[in-house]
Amino acid sequence: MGVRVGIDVVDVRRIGALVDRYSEGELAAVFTAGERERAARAGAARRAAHLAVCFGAKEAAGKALGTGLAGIDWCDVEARADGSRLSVAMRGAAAVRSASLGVGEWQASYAVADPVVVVQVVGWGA
Amino acid sequence: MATAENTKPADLPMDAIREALLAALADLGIGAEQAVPDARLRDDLELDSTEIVQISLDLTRRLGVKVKLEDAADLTLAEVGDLVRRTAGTPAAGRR
Repeated sequence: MGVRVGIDVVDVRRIGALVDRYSEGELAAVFTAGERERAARAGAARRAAHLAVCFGAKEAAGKALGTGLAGIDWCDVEARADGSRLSVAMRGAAAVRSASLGVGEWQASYAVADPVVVVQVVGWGA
Repeated sequence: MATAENTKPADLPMDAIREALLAALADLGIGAEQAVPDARLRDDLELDSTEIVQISLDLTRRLGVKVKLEDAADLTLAEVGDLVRRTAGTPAAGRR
């Protein structure tokens, strides 16, 4: 089993448009309760950027899993952004896929290049 | 216009699905002339992941059907319509 790598670039303005357009309940289809709570705590000015990092982590994780997010719910990948630190947790179908690949450890990082964020997710055997 | 409040998903006619899909695409600046049945979301309409999510959420809002459009294949609009109809017709699936 090799190292699994996924990278995604997200335009924060696009996530801002989603945040403006949809209610908290509607956004729950894409973002977990924890992600939405942490984004709210980040403050109004940083909420979209925080969720953009989460969105990028999900997309990058899908790429690292080799299937994209086909068959995997958005909330099966949960991102936890804390300052400059980022981690991801796999649940449900994402966890099943991760296990089938023999991946036991996941790490993530991100960089801000206004107006986009670049997110990288790396997985390898435990 | 069909809505989650006045229409049971299993009863969704294709016209209502088409209308909702065209409205969602129009909000992204895609006109009816581009929104032909065999147009693919990514290759032809050049939608990115956030825009595809917006279509999913719009379809949920307008039709009351939860569909996930991220697929291994690049779906055509006809395939999106079929997916909405199949999802709506599946008991206990796709219902909010």
